[in-house]
Amino acid sequence: MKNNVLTVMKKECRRIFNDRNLFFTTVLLPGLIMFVMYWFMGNFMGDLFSVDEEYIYQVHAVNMPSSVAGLLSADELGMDIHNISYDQIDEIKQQISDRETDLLIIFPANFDELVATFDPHTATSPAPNIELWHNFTRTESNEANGIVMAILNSYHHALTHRFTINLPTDDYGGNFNLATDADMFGMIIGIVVPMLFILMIFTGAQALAPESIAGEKERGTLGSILVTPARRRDIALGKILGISVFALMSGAVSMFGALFGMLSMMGMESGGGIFEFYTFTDIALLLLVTLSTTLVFVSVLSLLSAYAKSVKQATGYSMPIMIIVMIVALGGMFFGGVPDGIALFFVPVLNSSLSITAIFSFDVNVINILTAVATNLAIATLVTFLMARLFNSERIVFDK
Amino acid sequence: MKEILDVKNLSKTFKLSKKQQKLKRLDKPILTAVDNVSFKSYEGEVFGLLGPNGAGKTTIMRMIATLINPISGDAIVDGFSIKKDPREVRRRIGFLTNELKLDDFFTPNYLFEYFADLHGLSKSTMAVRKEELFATFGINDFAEVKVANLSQGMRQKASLAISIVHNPNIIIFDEPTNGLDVITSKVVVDFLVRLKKEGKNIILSTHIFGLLENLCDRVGIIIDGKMVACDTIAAVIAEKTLEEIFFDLYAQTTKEAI
Ligand SMILES: Nc1ncnc2c1ncn2[C@@H]1O[C@H](COP(=O)(O)OP(=O)(O)OP(=O)(O)O)[C@@H](O)[C@H]1O
Ligand SMILES: [Mg+2]
Repeated sequence: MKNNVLTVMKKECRRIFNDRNLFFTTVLLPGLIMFVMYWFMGNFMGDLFSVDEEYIYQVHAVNMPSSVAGLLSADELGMDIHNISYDQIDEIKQQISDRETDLLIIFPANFDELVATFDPHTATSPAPNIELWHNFTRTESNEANGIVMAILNSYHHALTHRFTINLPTDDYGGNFNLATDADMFGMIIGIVVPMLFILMIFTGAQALAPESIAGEKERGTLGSILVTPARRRDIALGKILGISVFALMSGAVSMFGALFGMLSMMGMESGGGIFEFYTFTDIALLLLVTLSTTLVFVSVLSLLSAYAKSVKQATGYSMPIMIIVMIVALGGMFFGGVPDGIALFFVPVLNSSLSITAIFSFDVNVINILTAVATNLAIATLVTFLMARLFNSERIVFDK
Repeated sequence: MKEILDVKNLSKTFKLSKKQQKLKRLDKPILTAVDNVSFKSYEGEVFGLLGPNGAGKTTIMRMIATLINPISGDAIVDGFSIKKDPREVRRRIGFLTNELKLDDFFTPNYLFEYFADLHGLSKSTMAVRKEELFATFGINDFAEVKVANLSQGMRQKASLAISIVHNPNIIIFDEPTNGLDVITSKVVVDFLVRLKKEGKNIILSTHIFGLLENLCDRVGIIIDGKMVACDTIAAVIAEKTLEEIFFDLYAQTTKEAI
């Protein structure tokens, strides 16, 4: 007995390949959209992540003590230090928030003397505190903050803790980041990328499954297959795998579209650049997550399509699912990052979203991600089995 | 005579939706489409099912083809029960109706090989079958044209060839000429005649009296889901034409004068 799964799968693939419209709209178009979208986003991210070697950081200081001025004046730091007065503080803070300048350092008056006379063991008043204001989303600001923070930290240790940096205050709490909500947009990309990616796979599957299964019902071609001795299970599996190949292609094309769009704007010409950031394990896990997620979507949509009487009805059934997927795929947002616990990795869609976010943000917990993959595969298997059962029931083909 | 098909007390009901119930003016949401039907067909025979619209012919044939399940009764097809061995039954039958169609996006050539694969034919057997059937039906001229671009007659030829790709012993035809133009009908009738000559077992449903009289060895008349008469064609048409007998039976069963 030949392998009917393969036969059915091959036909499914051929069908989509031969249909130029379908191929274009499900495989090529999403990739193109992602490329353009990320080309723009890349523009933004490019700003975010690279600082020109020649760049001179614009640092504003109030009461700059001569000791620290000496530390920061080294040429190789490339800092231009402007001494300002108290009443200019608000103006500079605004500029930082608007991403126009880089850093504001506020020292207490007579910092050097205060530090010299401060004894952390006997003091009754708090140590002199330095405030360092920056904007998280402006790369130059972030860099300058890092550099100054590192220098002050070592000075802090050298002086045996006679001052503090960015001590939380009643006014600001511990937040000395002047980024506004709109600037946070860039940071959210880490969550939006997985969501869009998951959605692309979903829409790929959504374009194919109703057409391939409900469409065959509608056109009366499914019955012809069901009168052959091929097992229902093989037919169901063959169809699901065939559709998955294309949903995956569509997902992969989208992903590469996004990647190249981003890289090309960030000045990295080749895709090889990604291996500078991600390890082989990361990429392998990403592929596994993508594959298993695709199988979940395709099997669920196929089951619905087998149940529906027409392509239209099947597409209608898939809409609520799509909304759920969209919301759940944003999962990372609700949890403010990827949780360490394993529990959420048993929840379909959410587990894919969290896994992709984790991989993109270098926060990989292999066990959790493999749990997500295993969960997805189990669900896809179960749904395939249900679909085979449905093929066996007469409802599917001959319901009036 | 060897029994090829033994239909034993086959019954089928359908649950109806509110809308369907209203449409059929029934007081219960259950429709008995096939009611305790039994008949036999023997080696080399053509068995014809005759009945008005909605009599239950298609339902009976779908049950025999294992596409739907009876609520009671059984049918033994070439020694295999449709309930216990549906796959063995499917291996032995070819099923052709106008409702089962060929995929528009593929060529007859591809579909022939596809169905040969699903039936588990070896490459060499398939090649021999293809050469033979494509020549018989004159399919070679359009073997590489997508089904969507074929004329109705060409499609019908391709369907017929593909439905017997696995050289089934029993061929089930549900209203094979229904809705076809005269030319295409002729293709089908010629095919039936050829199969009969080859000694194949055929189960056929139709509205066309002439087709039954000329082709069938045995007929069963189905009205309202019940088998009201079943005998050899010779016995049935001994005194009256099939047409006359049918209308008599119809009037008796439904108590409607025609
Ligand atoms: N899936 C179904 N759901 C509900 N009712 C059905 C279903 N299939 C068939 N029926 C009903 O069962 C009865 C028998 O239908 P069937 O199609 O077997 O008749 P038929 O003899 O083939 O008629 P025709 O000559 O019109 O093809 C009809 O009343 C039909 O409406
Ligand atoms: Mg019928």
